[in-house]
Amino acid sequence: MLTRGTLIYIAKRVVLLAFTVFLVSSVVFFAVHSLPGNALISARLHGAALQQQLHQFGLDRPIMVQYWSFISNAVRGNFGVSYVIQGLPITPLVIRELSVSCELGGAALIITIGLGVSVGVIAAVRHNTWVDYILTSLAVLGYTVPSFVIATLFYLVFGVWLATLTNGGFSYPLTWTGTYGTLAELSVPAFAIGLFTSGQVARITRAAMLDVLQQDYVRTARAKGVREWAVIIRHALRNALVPVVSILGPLIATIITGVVVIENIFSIPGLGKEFIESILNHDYNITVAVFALLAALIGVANLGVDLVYAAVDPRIRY
Amino acid sequence: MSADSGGMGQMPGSGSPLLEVKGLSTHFFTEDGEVRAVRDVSFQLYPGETLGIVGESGCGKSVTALSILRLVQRPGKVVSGQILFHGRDLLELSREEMRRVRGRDIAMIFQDPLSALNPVLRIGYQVDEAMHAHDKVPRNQVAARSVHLLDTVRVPDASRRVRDYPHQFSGGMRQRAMIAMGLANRPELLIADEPTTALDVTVQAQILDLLREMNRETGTSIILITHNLGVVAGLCSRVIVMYAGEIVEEGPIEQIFENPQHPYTWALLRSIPRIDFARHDRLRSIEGLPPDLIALPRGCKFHPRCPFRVERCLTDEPSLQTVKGGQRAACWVTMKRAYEEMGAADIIDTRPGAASGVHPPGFTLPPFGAADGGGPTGPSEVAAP
Amino acid sequence: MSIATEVAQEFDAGVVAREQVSLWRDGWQRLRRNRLALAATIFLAFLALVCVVTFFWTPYPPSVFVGNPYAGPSLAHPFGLDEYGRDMLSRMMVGAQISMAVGLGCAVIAVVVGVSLGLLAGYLRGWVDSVISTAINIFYSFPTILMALILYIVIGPSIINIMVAISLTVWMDMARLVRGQTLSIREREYVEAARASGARTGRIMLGHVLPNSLGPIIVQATYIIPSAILTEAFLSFLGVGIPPPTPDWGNILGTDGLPAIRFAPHILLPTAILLSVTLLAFNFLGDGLRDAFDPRQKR
Repeated sequence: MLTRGTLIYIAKRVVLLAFTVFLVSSVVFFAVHSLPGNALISARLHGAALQQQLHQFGLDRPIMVQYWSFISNAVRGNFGVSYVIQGLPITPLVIRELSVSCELGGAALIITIGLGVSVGVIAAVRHNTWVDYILTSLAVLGYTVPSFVIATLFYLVFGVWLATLTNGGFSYPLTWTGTYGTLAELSVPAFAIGLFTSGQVARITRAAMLDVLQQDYVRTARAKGVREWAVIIRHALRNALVPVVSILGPLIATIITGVVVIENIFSIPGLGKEFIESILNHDYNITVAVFALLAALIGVANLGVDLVYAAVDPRIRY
Repeated sequence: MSADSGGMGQMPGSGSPLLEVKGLSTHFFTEDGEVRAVRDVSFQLYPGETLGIVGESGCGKSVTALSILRLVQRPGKVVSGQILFHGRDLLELSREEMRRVRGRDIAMIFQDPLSALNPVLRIGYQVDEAMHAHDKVPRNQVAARSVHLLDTVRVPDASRRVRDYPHQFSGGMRQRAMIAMGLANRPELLIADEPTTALDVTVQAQILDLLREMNRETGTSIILITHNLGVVAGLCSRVIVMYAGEIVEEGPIEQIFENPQHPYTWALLRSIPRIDFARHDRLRSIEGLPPDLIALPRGCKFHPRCPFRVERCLTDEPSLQTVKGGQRAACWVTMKRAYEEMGAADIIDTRPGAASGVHPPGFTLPPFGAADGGGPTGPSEVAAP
Repeated sequence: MSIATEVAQEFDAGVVAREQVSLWRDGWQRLRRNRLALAATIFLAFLALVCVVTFFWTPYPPSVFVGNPYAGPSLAHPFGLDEYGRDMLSRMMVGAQISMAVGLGCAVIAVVVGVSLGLLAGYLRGWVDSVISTAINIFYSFPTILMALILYIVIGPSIINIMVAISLTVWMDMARLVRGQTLSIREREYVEAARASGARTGRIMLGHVLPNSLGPIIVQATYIIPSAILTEAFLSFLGVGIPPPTPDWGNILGTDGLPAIRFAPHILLPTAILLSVTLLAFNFLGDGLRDAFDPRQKR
């Protein structure tokens, strides 16, 4: 599978990715610096003090000089320092937060696919029985109710009600300990994100399975005497996964959106939380760095999806 | 191996039948009504025999085959009958026992090999799978046997081709691969559902040759399902003709072809275009359409389209009667009488512009103009006795 | 009666005649039978009514302090008061107006943009199609929030900007659908006939292709509305959408509801449920329309 054609494709995509990240960061950079004094609004400085701050951060230089220094620093991995928190180097901060977000996003992805595919397969195999109706209804609820509503409801149920019900005896830990949290702390936020996207996956899996189970090759497999579970998994599901993988790209975008939102609700120290904070605090140096990393993450994720797609469907070859 | 009669496969063995279908009925319970796709079908198959099941689309031949292997899906259901394989009723077996029969004792290959093969799995894998599903071939020999099977069905460069995907094979090669899959466990019976319909004519001949060879060399019985009479003539020793879900005629192939007794069979055979027809003859089709399987007509199901019907045909459903040694037809009239008493031999309408050569009584052709020159007049109502 | 006549009659009787129904009447009949879609429509009609009423009257002014902060539900205030002592019911009603307006507005923009681009891409093909399809793919892989936030940074919050931002996140589905429809319809005979008789491209696109895709377009539009409402809601939820004090469902949930969740869950809960039910209703309606228009399903 790792043919020369595939490797060339990957190389092309990596180049495209680098270009996209570059483009996105530049756009954001110029957007951020387009309004003078924009970046230091939070400090509410005026006059000479303002000028001094501007000079300290190099913001009084011509825009193109700033841009050049930004780019030359960025490619070396140095995103500069925060405007708001004095002297805080951005790069290690955002890298750490990126890993936290990846942890959360990864967990959400596992839930999405694991739960979504299982529900879809079971609903399809037990088509038109009460099992199907219940599972389908759950899936519909899943993908209609937005992730932040689910998250706040979880917060309410697990964080507030559970504690009051058991009189403080049993409470669900909602605050994130340390950088990466524990498994228990990870599960509620991950589910809050994953429930939403797994509903979509379940719907598509079910529809694809229903379609595939009508296909001739499933009948051939049964005629060969293949065991029923093998027919369902090896023949039907294998083919039904193809349309599922095709929505994986937009799905990852949705997961990333979900990560940003959920991090804000549950105060998880990830890229999403940093993102919103930096915007609200006008700490735009960080904003640019976060954007660049997010764009890179999206590009890598999409490339991964395309490769998975090729692995799943042998008719696709790069 | 006995001497074959012009490549028709082995002579039917004597002794007990390999497969005995008794009174099989399969209905589909749809929103629009109960579709009686197969009604009270009975036949026998002896070891080494090649049996053809012939009929137009929708006559129930495929459903019969699927019923034998219990592959009929919702909303279809076998409602009555017995399917005795070596005396054991397949309809009484548990799901797991039936699974063990499929692909091992009775194998089935299907019409369109492109859609009948899983597009995301390698050919070799799918052939291996046929053997892995059962216990006849030891694990360590499966892969080698797959290559050998592909070789036997004449897939070129089999050892390399085994790793290909179905879309990399040509149509004929895919069908050969399907045959290889079917024969992997050396089944006693191979059911081939329209194996050549989706293929070019030249490839058709090759596939039929292959099947004939398999039958001759390994003694595998074959049930060949098709709407193409030419295909049946090329392979089978016995043939069953189905119409509207039931058997209307059956018998040895030479007898059926030379002397069809049921009007439907007769009309089918007449409809085959021949090279020696006069140029201006139009193709002779059968008037009318097959009946709706939900609301079947009373009496003989073919009577609305039959040029030889009598009053009895409208009310009583005929059962299979022996007309000649080994040949049976379900008809009150039969072609013998039609020729002797109804002037069947004269029913040829060669006027240019005539719709077909055969009309059911009650139709009158509109009169032709003077340009006609007064040839033989077409059939008017055939008098009912 | 002669045998011939009798037989002819029987022959006709054997043929089951099916009633001929037009696509629209058939679809309408099927939709009426779909109880979920019906319930959804009733709910949405009710919601629309509330929105209209809110123009003229709310129980209390939505942005004015009328009682004790965090007060629970009572007879005077069925949904209680929020952290500033503002009546929740009134705020929810205004929020409904805004969410629906933004949702519908964005849907309209997305439909116009999506249909136009889809028609162009599908009909003209070639490089036009390549450009538009690439744009569609890029937008698909971009998380909505990033796009909205870029615009937020650059232009600042205002209803127009938010609507533009949201429309940018939902037009792709429509464009892809219309493109697919156009690609298949353009091959049909009546389009060829129109071309052969010299009709101009624009006329063909609007007069032939578009009317024949109307069914799927309507269904897709019904799905776009909840996507738009959802996107708008969570932008406001995060604080980068409609600026307070204007009450909008997202605002109520995020700015008012979430911080007070421990001791005043009545701020968050009704709005969360209301938002979810509205989204569900639109989805059910969309499903119902889709099933009603699906020619593959027999009656």
